[in-house]
Amino acid sequence: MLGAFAVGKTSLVQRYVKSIFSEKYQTTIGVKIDKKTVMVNQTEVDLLLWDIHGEDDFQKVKSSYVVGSSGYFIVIDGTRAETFAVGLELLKLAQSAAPAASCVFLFNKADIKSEWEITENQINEIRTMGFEVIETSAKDNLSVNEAFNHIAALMLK
Amino acid sequence: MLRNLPENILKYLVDQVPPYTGILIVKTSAEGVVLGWHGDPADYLSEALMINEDLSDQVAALFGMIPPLVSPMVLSRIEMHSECIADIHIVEDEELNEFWIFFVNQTKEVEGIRDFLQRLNESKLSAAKSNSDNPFGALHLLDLATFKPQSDGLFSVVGELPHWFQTLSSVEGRIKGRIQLADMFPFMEVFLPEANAFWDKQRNGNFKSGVWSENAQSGNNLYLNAYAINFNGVGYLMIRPLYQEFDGEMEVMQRAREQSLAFEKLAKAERKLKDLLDYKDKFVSIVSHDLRSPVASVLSIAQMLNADEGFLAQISDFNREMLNNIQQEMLRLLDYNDKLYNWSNLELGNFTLVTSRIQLLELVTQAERTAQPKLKEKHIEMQVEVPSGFLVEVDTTLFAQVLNNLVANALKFTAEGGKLTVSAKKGEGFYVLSLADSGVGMSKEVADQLFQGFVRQSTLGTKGEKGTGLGMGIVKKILDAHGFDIKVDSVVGEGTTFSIYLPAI
Repeated sequence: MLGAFAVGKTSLVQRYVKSIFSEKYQTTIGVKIDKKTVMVNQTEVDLLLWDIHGEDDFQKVKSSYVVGSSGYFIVIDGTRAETFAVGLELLKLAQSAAPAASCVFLFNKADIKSEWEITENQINEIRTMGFEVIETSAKDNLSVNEAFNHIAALMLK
Repeated sequence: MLRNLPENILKYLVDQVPPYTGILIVKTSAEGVVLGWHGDPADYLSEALMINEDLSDQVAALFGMIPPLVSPMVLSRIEMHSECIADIHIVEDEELNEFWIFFVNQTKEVEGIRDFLQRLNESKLSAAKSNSDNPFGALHLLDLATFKPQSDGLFSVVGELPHWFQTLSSVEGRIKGRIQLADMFPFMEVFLPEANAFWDKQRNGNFKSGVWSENAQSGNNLYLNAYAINFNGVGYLMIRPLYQEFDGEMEVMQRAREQSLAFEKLAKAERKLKDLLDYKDKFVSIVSHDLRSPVASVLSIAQMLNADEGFLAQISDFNREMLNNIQQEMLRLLDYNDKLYNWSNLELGNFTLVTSRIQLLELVTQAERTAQPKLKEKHIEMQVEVPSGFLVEVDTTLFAQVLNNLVANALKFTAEGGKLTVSAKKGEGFYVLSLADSGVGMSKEVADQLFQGFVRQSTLGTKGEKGTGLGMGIVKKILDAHGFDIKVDSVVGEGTTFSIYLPAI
């Protein structure tokens, strides 16, 4: 899980792994690794989900956290324009550290789409770059399972 | 009682007794009989303290200790009762042959190290299990889990594993023989390659991992740091939990990010507000621009009719007065509309300064000419004291607007027969152009708000003159665009002086 701080990385993992959601923002320090076993095309897959702290001036993501990954999400908060640029920066870091890994962009907080600052053009920009885009909401459980199952399937290809 | 302490006893109390959270001081005779006390005995003793009783009846540790073999004598960490542990200092007052017993409360200090001492003692008891290959001794007592990497990539435990380590969900029941740390902690997949590179260098020192968190069996998260260590050519790996010191760091991080989020929200609200203001200014600009033509047409018709003597002769006095009123009001409306248009364009930044060099006197004279009708109407004397030769660089059209607005404002608030003086003085690299009137003046509160922008309600002039509430705002905008300062000094009932500071050419 890569993205700026407070985009909802931890919330997405918690929703997916534990089916819970908290409105309270609790900043992630360091790395939290969760496990979840899923069935992908009749194959049992153990997912190790690395919830990495948000990127900002206080904490920088180390490329070594991404090196061994089979896939990663770049998470962007639809309501915060600033998180788009951070997502693209982290994409560069991840592409350099794990060139073979699958990548999916998650535009989170789809439950409050009326407040989005991220434009359709920006989302299309990501699609044009060849990445899949999924609009998610950890709060309303929108497309969360689909996103994780999808990246698991991509990683198996 | 403290005040009555003999000097040598007081000196002992200040110099020798460590900082304490509570103290009981008891004075006894040479036989240990209680003569008096200071402090609350109930905190230290199970039963009430009595004068003339033998203190050792209450405190068994003092049995046979008074008089002591040496003075002072300190008995450390004596359990007074189940909730109190104290250091007991026995000090002799040689002059009076009396003894002062200090019970210094050490309960909190002992609680702080009890756990450590417990584990230290347990460690000593199980010393037979200790690994002779452990150069770090009882380091696990400081909560460090220590491992030694083996050639096959597995790790052997060095010394004892601390309690917290064994309570981790990922560790439970898996410490048998050599262990695969990366299986236990996926985070190690990232750290071990870096640690291996560090161990290969074989230089004494340590290399620290990032922070990661693990679930404890209690359900809480435990934050951890790993260290790769080279010690005398041998590599070790230590894992350390982050407790209180990290809580503070987390709190700072949490607060910083919450503030960042609040700042982002504020910036977002500001952007929205600015968009709305721009929209408002554009709207005003368009409306005032489009209104100008019909207003000017109606004014022209009124002026034309007012100038047609044949027509005026045909209508009643009342209708002539009405026609005159239409002309005056349309004139005022046009002025207001023009100011609104100028204001909105200044707000939007829809203008470019086109500056040229000009005599300050010429600009003032031009403003005086414009003000002539009003000067005559109110019999106000306008005195100009601007030396010729004061050259300034301004946008003449916009600066003329500044002077016209300031002069009009002065005339509005100066009663008939008053005076307006426009003067200029040279300072160090600048001119000060002052407009001083003998008008009604204004309070400091009004003066402070004067250049804030649109004034909701314009004050009527001395002859009931109405204003737009925009004049001073326009003045400030134009001067700001030039980079000039303006100041206002006013005394209610005496008058107002506006001073503009312009760079001298």
